[in-house]
Amino acid sequence: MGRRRDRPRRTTGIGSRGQSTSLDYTLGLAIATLLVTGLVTAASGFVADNRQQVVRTELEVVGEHVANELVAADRLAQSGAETERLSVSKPLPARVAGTGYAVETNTVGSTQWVNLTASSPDITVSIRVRTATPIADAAVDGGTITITYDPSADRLEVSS
Amino acid sequence: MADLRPPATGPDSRRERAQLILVTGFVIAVVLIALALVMNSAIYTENLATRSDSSGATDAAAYQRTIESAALEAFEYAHAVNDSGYDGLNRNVTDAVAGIDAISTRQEATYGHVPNLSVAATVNGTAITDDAGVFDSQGGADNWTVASAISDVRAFNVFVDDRTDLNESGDREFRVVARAPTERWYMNVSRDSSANEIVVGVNATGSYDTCRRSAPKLWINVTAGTVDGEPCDALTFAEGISTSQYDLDIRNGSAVRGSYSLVVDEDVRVAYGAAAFDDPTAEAALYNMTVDLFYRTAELDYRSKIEIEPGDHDG
Repeated sequence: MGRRRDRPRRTTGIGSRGQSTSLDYTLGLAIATLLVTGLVTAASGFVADNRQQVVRTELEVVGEHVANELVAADRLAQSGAETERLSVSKPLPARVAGTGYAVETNTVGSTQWVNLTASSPDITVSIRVRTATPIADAAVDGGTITITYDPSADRLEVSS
Repeated sequence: MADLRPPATGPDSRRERAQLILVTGFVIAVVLIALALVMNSAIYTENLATRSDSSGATDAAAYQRTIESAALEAFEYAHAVNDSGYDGLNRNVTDAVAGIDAISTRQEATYGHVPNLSVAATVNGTAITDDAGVFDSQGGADNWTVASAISDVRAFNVFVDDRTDLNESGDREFRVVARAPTERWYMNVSRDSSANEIVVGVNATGSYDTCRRSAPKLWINVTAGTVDGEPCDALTFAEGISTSQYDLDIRNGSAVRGSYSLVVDEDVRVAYGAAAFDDPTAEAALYNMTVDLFYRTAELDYRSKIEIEPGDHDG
């Protein structure tokens, strides 16, 4: 038996199967791209979900702070024989998890609400407030807000 | 064309190119950084959630309650030690409130809060009391006017010493009357022998209601609306009197034994002379006091008036 002639090795092949270099390359690229895309998509989704959750939680926390200040202002406005001036400024974060938001006070029937809406992702959180003093409907951007008492109208007003 | 992985042999066998994996790694790194930033926001949120009220609104509310209580004590003490008329009373309450202001300012300054207190106004009134016996006038009249042209009464307490001294219901009952030109409110106190009860009847704008108590002796807090310490729904002093001024009368003053005291918001001492034993007396008293309260912190600006008017809510 003569010495077996060496076949030239394919640069990308894994053996001596009947597979062209181009097909091997394309398949490899496709599989890798699929895997990588899946990985990146999953990771981005995970981050997006977390961000959404964080925005919601932060809006809730900010909303509770606003509600807390409204109730405290209401308590002050109600105590004493006559409240002549009341102004409470509350520093709040201007952005939550990198997105801007709006604070809105709203009265539906006898129920008062503080609604916080983030634009991107689109999330709205509503906090119920119970005050003896009516709260004027208003909408302000996030950041430092000011709660004032209007003695002539006997109501609390939220402004930026 | 670049390989996904290096060849096993040849000149490129030791070069690890793998751009796709590099790019992927880079993208994942960016995603992880984004995740870290989001987590940072979450930590900040948790931190924010633990912060309590920082504007001082709660402190202001607590301060106001403290001042209300202290000013009430000062007001009552000023009356307890004074015997020199309205000037002395005004001086006493003003000095007392200035003292409270000085102490509280020092205390609150520790927290960076700036309060301020001052007496804004006082209303001169008259304290009318009769410690014992029947409820007749100084001249012995059974039907008489306790105070004319008044607009408010506070701390009006009547002590009925013995049920048996009272007349039967419908028979010349002891009566307290708030009398305006066209309106009238009255409260009568009588007994119901068959039920062994004291009957407090109130006529306000034509409707008549009663409260009955079986105690042989009791207190009626007319302005607070209580009989024998229990609320009496019918009893709302001067209910239905819409005019700004009215007279306060006693009718059938001999039909009861006990004591009474009240403070009216006008100086009516001129109607009273030197009191003999068993006669009603009239002394200078402040009807109420208004205190101006300021409270400032870095985030709060609050100004309010506190009205000190003892006796209306002690039922």
